[in-house]
Amino acid sequence: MVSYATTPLAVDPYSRMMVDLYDEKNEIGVPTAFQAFFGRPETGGKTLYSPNSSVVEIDIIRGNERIAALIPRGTISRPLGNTQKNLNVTKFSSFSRRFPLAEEELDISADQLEFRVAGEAPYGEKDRLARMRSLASSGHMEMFRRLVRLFEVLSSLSVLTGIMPAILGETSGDLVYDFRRNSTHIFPAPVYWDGTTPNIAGQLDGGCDLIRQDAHMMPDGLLLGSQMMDAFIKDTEVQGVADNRRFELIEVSTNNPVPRKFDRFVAGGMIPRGRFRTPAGYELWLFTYLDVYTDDNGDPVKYMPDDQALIFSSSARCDRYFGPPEVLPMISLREQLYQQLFGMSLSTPPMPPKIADAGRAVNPGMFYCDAYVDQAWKTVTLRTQAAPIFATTATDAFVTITNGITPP
Amino acid sequence: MSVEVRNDVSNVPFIRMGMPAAVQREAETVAQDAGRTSDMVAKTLMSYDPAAGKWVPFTDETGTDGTQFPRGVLLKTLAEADIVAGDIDNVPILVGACILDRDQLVIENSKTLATVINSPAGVNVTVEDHLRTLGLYMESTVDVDGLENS
Repeated sequence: MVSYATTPLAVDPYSRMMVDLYDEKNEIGVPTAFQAFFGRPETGGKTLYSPNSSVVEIDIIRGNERIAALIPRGTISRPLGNTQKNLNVTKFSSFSRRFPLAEEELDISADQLEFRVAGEAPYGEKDRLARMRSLASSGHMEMFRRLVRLFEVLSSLSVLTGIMPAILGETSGDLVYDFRRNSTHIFPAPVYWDGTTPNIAGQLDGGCDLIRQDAHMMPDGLLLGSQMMDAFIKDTEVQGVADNRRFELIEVSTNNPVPRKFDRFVAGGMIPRGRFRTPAGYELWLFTYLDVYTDDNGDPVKYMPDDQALIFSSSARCDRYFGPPEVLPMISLREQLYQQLFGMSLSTPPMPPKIADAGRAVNPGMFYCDAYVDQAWKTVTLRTQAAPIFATTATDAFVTITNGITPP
Repeated sequence: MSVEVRNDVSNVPFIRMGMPAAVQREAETVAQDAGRTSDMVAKTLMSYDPAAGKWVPFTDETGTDGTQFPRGVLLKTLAEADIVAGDIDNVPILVGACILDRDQLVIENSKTLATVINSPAGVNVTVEDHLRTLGLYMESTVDVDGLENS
């Protein structure tokens, strides 16, 4: 309540005009580079909306690249040894995952509505309902932005670690979704990239081999933390092959058009830096990703850690599942209440077009909006919920090199 | 409470191919073992004690009572408590004329298909070769499908 804390101001003698409000929140983008891995039809990625069921299930079959047998002609009997092994099918792993729940709430009190809202011209005669709608719109938009940032954090953890927490901070145990990344796919750099003769190309070739052998697809992307990129371009071996010797192993250049398959990552915030052909022959397109979110202490945190490198295949199937809200079923009475209070439909939140940079990876079906009012009819609480799981289904298509920089 | 449950499913058949004359006995008796400390799982290689008229798991290739020769394969799991309590009747046992998945056959007491039976002296036959005389052929198989990383 602010009534008694606010002293009315005297009317001053000047004539004034106001220009449109500048709300920085509306200018802040919501990066979606890691989310761009998920739900992509061209990779077979699925987007599942589950408004009623609390558990999502998937069966996974892993394959191999064995070859067929050659046997002597004229043998009508059945080989029982190792020459021609009979084939087995119908082995698979089945996973059941209960959705997490993300929730944001915001109160608007009757008292606030007596005061001018930001951007409202003095004597503009905005009524209290219009003010409430303005506050509600602004509030919901911020909730969406926070949730999309949370999506990005969860996506980054799923991609970088193969594990997504159901509660932030959890890395193992009952409250994580473990997509079963092969443990060899996450390893500390054998030699710091800014150290002596780190053999960066060798480290990358090793990671590429893991993806080719375990995920059975070719890696084609390399996302570098900012310090890793710095160490990469300063490394003498890399500089050597980047020199003009017709080896054409590396081009750190903007003159090199990035293939269209990476457009989604660039739209989400990745910065294309060039192309690197490893000595073994893998072709990796280089990216950095500098976007940040603000942690609980108010400090900026990069979605892509400075000292990590991610080798990936853009062909990897990654799914995203969006579960139900945790609120009683909507009835027409509450939907009408919401619409009359805030002037917008409960089932069609005003986004993503109004959220900067979110258009490629975010849509309204991921969110559940509602509001509840206290018995005294003095406060309304806005609420937005989401229940996302970002599953790196082709989990071995990623290799993360950690601890790549000499600790300070 | 956990947010995730994993279940590995395998429906790979153990009996790869049964000959028209394949023999499965369904009313056999497995002998009591008061010292048993685990279940006797399906697909365990079994021997037959002719003096007692009962089946026991194949565990010793040096016996002289006939149990040094495996005679069949248990087709259902028997609970430890039931084995400790007494003889178990009406047990199905596969005794011949089948091709089996060698990877799924269970042999107790660290014995293998390569274990050599030489009792009485001069027999000198591996478990696998002996089973072939019964028409039980072990086939090597390979998985097309794999489970997710553990």
